[in-house]
Amino acid sequence: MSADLKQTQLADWRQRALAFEREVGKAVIGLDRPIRHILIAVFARGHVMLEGDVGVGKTTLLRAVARCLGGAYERVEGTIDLMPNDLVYHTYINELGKPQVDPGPVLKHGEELSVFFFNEVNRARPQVHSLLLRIMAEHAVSAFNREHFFPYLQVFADRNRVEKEETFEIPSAARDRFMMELHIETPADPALRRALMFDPKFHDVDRLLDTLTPGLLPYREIPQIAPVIQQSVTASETLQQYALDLWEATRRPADYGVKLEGVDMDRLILAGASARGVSMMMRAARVSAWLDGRDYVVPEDIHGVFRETIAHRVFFNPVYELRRTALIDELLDAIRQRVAAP
Amino acid sequence: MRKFALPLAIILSVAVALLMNANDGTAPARFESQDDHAATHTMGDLILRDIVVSTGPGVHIDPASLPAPGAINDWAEIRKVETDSTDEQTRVRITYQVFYGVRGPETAELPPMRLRFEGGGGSPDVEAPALPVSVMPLIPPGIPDEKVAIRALRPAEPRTYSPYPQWLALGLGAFGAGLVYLLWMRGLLPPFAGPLPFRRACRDLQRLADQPSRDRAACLLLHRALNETAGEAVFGNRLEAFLERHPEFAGIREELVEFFALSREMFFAEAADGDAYARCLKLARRARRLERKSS
Repeated sequence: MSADLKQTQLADWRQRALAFEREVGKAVIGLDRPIRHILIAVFARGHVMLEGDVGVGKTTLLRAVARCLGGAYERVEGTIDLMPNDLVYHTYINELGKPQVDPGPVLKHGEELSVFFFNEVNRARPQVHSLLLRIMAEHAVSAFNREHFFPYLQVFADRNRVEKEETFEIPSAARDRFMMELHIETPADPALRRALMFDPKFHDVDRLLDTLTPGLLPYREIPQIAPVIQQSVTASETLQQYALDLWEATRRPADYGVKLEGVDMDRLILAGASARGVSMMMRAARVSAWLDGRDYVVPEDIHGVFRETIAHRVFFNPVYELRRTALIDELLDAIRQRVAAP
Repeated sequence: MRKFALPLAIILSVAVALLMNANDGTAPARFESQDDHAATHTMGDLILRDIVVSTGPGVHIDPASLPAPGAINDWAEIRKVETDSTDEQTRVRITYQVFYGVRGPETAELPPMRLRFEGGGGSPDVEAPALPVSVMPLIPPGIPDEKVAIRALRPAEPRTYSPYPQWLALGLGAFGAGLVYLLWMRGLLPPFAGPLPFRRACRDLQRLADQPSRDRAACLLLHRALNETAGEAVFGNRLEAFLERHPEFAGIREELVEFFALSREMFFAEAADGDAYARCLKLARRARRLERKSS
């Protein structure tokens, strides 16, 4: 493909991506930043974990994304008795009185599965987490004596952070497979809150989603355009050094002069960001640059995805883990402030 | 008969002396005054009089015979009466004060007094004679009261001045330190440039003038000055926040926006800009002026 053709193709895709973002924003108000991050994840081919209180619009957001993205959409509710096989096949007695085995939610749509939403993933058992890990990592699953592939699959999961009973904390290895963890909050803008409360169009979610244009993005082509984006957007030597410094600062923040009040910085970090984590961060930053109409990455691109791609990959020592929610934001902000580029 | 005459006379004289002593109800005493008789007194003066009586063991003064403090006549009063007894003697110290104002020299006397002693087989009394005292006026004769210049009777008490030089030294030291700090903050102490990042940036930029590849280094110096001023890394998208915290640089907002665009092109888009050094130097000089005004 010639350079000009590639640029034209990238520009066309960028217009589609921005149209997709605008369309999803019609159904979900006050969540511009999460919508942008999901858009980045779609083109960086990364899976997304959503976290937020009950009723803040996580499911509506994902349904809107699935509708505008096109392809097949499946949703599974995490429960304590859910077993891995429940994702793969479904056994029952059919109308003829004979046992029948049907494909489960993962296999039902074959290769066309585009969005798989695992609701309340921390209610499911670790065995289910393991299967989900494989699907996320390999876009494939073994069933009925053969491999099934899902080239367009993107997994979205939702973790309930309110209730802790009968839940299984997702292991760090599983969390590391998610490109991003997004925190969904109720909009702070009083006007948006008023609209959510009093505008009838937000009361009937099904009808609201029906108004969205389906299949704005040709989902089958996304796996082809994603690597083009990664190859077209460059990271200069200065930028690479900056990203490396950020990575190192997540591992040894004290070396970069990062100080948090009431925290022994030498004992804070149990494990910093993984290589896979910072690789995903750079993939997301490249997509962010492309969405901004640039063919090179700047530090602000990294800043825009730094928390979402890194926060769940930094692990604190147990003495500080209980204060994680407050400390992780402080730590990442301090790292951004202390590490300079150029 | 003649040979007995001298001893008999001695015996008789001793007996007479003993009989006379036995009949005399006074004890041996001496009287001392703290001022000599030539001294004159004016109103307010204190006169000390000691009556020292030789006594034996077990003899003590009857407190009832001591004079009571208070006025004793029209011109004097007793301020204080103190006693001090040992086995050999008893000292009675009486402090009088003159409160009589006279127009000319006068002579008065402190009245006599009788002190009684108890114990030791007898009760001998001590008669202290009257004590003449010369009293002088406070003001010279012939001068009306309204024309009298009040004079101190005594020179002013000497006062120690030792704390004042210390306080003066401390004050001068604090003032000097403050002055040095002010000069340092304003960059007027060349050996100690102080917290003036753009001043240092200008100096370092001038050193780059003859360097072949100076554009990137110039941008780096400006970035470092901005970061040092802000106390954190400043990026293009945080420029407004920086200007909110440092409104002194609001006057070069446009230049700063241009600088970040230039830096982005140079460091991240890897574009060449041959004019970067001159632009950085100009911006640094403007920033230095604003920095100096605000410091």
